[in-house]
Amino acid sequence: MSTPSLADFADEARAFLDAHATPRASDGAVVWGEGPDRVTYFSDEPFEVEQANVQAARDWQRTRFENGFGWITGPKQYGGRELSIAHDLVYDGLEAGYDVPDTGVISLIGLGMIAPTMLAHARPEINEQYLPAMFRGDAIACQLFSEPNAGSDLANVQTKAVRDGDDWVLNGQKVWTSGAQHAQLGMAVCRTNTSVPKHKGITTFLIDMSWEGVDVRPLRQMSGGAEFNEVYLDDVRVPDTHRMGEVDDGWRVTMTTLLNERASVGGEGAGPATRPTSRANLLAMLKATGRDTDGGVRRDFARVIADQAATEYLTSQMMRRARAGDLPGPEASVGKLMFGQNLTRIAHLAAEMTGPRMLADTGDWGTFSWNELLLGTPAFRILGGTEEIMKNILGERVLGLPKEPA
Amino acid sequence: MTVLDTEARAAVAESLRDVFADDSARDLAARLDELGWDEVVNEDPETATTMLFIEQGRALASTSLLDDVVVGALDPALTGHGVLYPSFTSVGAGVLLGPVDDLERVLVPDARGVRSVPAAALELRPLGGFDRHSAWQVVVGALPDGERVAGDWVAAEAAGRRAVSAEIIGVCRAALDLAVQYTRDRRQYGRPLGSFQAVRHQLAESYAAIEAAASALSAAWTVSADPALAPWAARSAKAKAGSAQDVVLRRTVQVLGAMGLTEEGPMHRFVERGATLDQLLGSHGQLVEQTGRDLLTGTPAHPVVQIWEDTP
Repeated sequence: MSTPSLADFADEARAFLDAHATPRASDGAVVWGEGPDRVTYFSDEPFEVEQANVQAARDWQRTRFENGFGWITGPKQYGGRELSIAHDLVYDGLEAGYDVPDTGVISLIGLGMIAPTMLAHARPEINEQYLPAMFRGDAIACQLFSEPNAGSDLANVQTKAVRDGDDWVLNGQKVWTSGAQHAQLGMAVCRTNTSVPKHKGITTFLIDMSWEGVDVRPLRQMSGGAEFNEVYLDDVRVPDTHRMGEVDDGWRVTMTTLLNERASVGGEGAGPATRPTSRANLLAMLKATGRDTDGGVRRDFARVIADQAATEYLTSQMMRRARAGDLPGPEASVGKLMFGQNLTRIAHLAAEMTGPRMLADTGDWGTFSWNELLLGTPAFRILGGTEEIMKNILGERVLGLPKEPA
Repeated sequence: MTVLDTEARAAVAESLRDVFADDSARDLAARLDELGWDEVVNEDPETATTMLFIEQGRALASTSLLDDVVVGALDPALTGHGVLYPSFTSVGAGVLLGPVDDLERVLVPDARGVRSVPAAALELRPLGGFDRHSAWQVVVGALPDGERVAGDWVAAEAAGRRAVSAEIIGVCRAALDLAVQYTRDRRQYGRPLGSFQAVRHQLAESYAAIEAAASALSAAWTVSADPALAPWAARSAKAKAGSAQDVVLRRTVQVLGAMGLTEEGPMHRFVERGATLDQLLGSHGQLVEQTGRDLLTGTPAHPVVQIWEDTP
């Protein structure tokens, strides 16, 4: 079958969406005081609610996949359509007009970061085994990267992988693993050689989270939920087929994921917090709180909107290139920096508009609910690589400044 | 004027830490009595009050000590009364520092002065929300009638602001200590985090903000007996402390990395307490706005009335 024109594809997508989803009730206009007022990026729902949300995400991803919209740009052999980025854009634009479940738990890390890494570095039979399952929503993937002594300095990982016949045996502790509680797959960055410089003794593996010896323990964060986890690996046996890239060459593989992460973290927008942080909602809030005549607040509002628009453009370009298989360069750090900065500014703008009401749970619609995002904002400056690391990357890799003295 | 020398102060600080760390059943008042606290206060009220509240902030203790300061400045004869602080939420008539079980009467400031109302008639519920560890209560429902009491609320409020400023400084110092310790111990790229300029600058900025707030507080004490200047100076000190907590807690959380975000570590408690104390007796944003307005109109400082009326 030849490539459908964008117009034909749009018709096809519209027909699919009409058959499987409900158009959004309004065109994005916000009626202040109506509807849910939760403002959250990290889930702090009770376990059952969160499970139901994850199930809804899986179901919607499966529906997309079965109808040819699950992996629009992906290779056909793994269930993709091999269409262009423009097709992908058209679909995203159309889907935004419908009420559909948020699929971030599947797409942000698994499809956005780990799938491109697998395409570049995993064996074809492994990709055949896992990629369709990932894009069908059956397999959620997580990054087993950070460790107690390997945070910003990720190359310092100590989790050991030791060769044993056709297998490797993994032992160690991972931490800050987002979504591990829902994941079927994990990408583990391990130490395989201690007698070479640290970047040269790393190997990466794809592991099944249900394998014996994998233990996930939740960590509670100050914004309420327990989105991230500690993951203990205790004599986990991994077949050599699940190795990604060459032995001791895992740093290159890891960098593929990290660069996609920087593009992806910004590219997904504000995720679950998209609606409350939207221009329409902030504008409604500005009017509802009577702060629309305050010059200072108006200026902050305008600045936030301008930055949001610029960041959206930048990161969508970057993410689409990444989805098409181009490895983002160090400039992806700009998107990550701006993403954190914007959400932080929006939370502060909301704090300025609602005033101290944000601090006490008074039951006022749209006020205290923001405190969750306010408490979540420090995390945006940490996750996916700290701001300090992003700035060092821009300084050294993009601007060509000398390294900081050791 | 400061009377206690450095050595005496260190000894007092240590005793106060023990007082706040003491989790026995004896109440705080009994523990302070044992320490002979009244004598320290009489000898050097500035140092005593500042140190007491700094240690309360460090310990993240939630007590009613502030009531004693405010009531003492209003009229020492009323000691033992509680205080209803101007509401900073959209519901409720005000905030109490704890339940009223041991109180008979509560003093309520309003636009005309202060009245005393029966504590038993107040309907309370925990403030909850952002700082889940405080004992603070919101008074809901209508306030009961009460008789007018003499005393200058503006002076009492200034005394309260000096004390809360010290408490915020204590919260900030403890958070900075935690961040300094962490960045000394934690190593990445083969060296302590604290050896990176990006990290140490944030800690230096935090230190500067805390010291600026501490200076403003000392300055406020130098005019504490002057009824014309004390309210302005106390308001400035509180504004400075409030903005310091914003600067300091943002930075100390950042340098702790993901450790600063979990409930497993103590940092989130400082963030929550700092933000909540900032609201008590006027946030830094409100206070500087009010000062700006007063300067423009040439109004003398009667800040509480303004803030009270401005609260939605």
